[in-house]
Amino acid sequence: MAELSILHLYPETLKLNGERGNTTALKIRAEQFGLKVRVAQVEVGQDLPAKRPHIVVLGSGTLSATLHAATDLQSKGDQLHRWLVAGTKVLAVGSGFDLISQGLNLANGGFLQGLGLTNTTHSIEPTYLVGEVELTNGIAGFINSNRSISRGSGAFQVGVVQASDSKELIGYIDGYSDGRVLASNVQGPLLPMNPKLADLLLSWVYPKLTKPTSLRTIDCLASKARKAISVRVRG
Amino acid sequence: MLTPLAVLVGKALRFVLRLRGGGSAVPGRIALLIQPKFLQKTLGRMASGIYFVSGSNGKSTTTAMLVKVLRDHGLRVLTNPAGGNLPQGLASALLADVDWLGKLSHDVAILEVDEAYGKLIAAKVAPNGLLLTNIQLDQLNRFHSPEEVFDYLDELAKLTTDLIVVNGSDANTERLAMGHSDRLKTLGVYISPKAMKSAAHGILAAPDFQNDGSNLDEAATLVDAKGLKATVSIAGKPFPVMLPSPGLHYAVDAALAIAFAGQILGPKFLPDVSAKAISGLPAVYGRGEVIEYQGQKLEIIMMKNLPSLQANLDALVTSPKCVWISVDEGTPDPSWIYDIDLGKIDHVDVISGTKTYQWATRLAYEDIGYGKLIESESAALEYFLSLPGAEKTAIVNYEQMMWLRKKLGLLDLEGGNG
Repeated sequence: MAELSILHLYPETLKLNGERGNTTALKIRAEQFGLKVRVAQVEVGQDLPAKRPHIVVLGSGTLSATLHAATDLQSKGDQLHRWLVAGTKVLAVGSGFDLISQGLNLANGGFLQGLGLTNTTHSIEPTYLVGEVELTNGIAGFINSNRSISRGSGAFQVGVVQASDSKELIGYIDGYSDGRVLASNVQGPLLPMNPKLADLLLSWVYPKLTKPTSLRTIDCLASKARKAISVRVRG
Repeated sequence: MLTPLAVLVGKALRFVLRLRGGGSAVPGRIALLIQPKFLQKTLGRMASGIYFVSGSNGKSTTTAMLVKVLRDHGLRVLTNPAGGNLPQGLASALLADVDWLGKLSHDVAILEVDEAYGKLIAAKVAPNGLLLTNIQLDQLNRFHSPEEVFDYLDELAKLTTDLIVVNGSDANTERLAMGHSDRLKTLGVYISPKAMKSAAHGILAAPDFQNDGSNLDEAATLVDAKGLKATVSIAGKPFPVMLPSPGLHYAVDAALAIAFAGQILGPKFLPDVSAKAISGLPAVYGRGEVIEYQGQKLEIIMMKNLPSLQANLDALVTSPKCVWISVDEGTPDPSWIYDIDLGKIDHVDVISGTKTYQWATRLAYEDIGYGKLIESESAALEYFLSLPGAEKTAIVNYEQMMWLRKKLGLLDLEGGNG
């Protein structure tokens, strides 16, 4: 049986919006795909495992939690870069996205260096964008973010907000996806609500997976959850 | 002349709306429109002071406990109802008690205030003392982060004149109080390691990465908590307290209320009177409250946020036999349900509300059976009541709880000042 190893980085520090659900979705779905799944967790101050994981997951935290994690993450940066070169994939949500970006411009004028895994640079804005969203590609969830994102060349976004109960969110360009890194500011959490993104991530590790019928119920429920959001935001 | 007019119109509106069974904040809003200084004119004359209770969770329970303790010591206490902790809600509560000239006959005011709006009330009537229960993950669509709540409560503390008592085992409230120690009497209520271990997930405080580890002077210690029994110690003297509902969170609320009462009452404080006062309290709405309806016992568990739901689930002794989950747009983003340890919830019988499928998806990933999915809460309630068994558990958000109470004929949406 093929194996899938997931490393959830900072699950206690970065868990503002139920991001444990992203790991849960990956684990449950991978098991249904017939993979033997191992999930490891590493907190701030702990060492990375010796063996390279297939997927690294990062969640979201408060600003002080993010700054706390950032210092630790920088110390692990070289190892993470080596893993990515060797084939490890990364899922990062919310401030986890900040941490793997080029960096985050702070409100006090400072700059938080990121790991540079995306071509995005993030900035903290004075106001939050908050609301349920429906993006292109049928992705749906909730955004609660005060980050603006400037992008390098190339169309790597996950999606664009088509409808929302917050007018300010319409046209918001979310996330980053390049076949190695999947990042987003959509909560719900992202993967349980949008299983096709979970499956996309799994397909980056194992391209020839066939979706089992056992996932139909979960996918149907998630679809109806997204549909309910769609109906609400489209009025 | 504005105050009597505000009282007249407000009282009339309050009477009419209560007949219809709702609208608790509307009379206060109108009174404030007529007399913008309504709060100053009414509350400003309190002889023994004004005290605020705030924090993410436990405000209502702690306030109810504190009020009962003070009343049983003989004080005439003015308070605001559960949920009525915004300026307009407070004004509505005052309308129930003021005379036609806007005068009150109470000795002391104990007011539950919203984390964000508390400072608005404090700017009008500065509190003598402030009691902070905790800072937890709550209403992120509104507050975005516990750090924002810290800043709001810090502003409230700046407007407080004499005393601040906080949950010292919550790193955020401890640090917040520490920042005011040069100007205010600052005290902490600490939870012993033994008591902390009585709940699977402890006190569920939001993480704090800036606390330097120094402690406040102790107002009280929660020595032990087990089921309905708690032991609180003040000045090294422990005494038992029977809680209105089981759970570490209630024990913490009781310790906070007793400690704060001790500060307000000074030498008149009596531990045995305080313990007896708390043991006689009913559960606050949605915090283990059991409603008798058509021969069935409906326990209401509120899922206001992750910590409140987790604390209530941790306090369950056995798996609920018949479970209904109902959540609507009062919880715009239920992402946090993926961080809940569902523990003793081994099945759910019916899910309703606009978040039906988000909850069902969560349960499906957990492989927990979810019975029927009925988006209409009225139809779901009918189905839930038709299920066999006389003991049922409803897990609902605040808005659904208020709807349910109204639906079941419980119209006492206000209260407090008996």
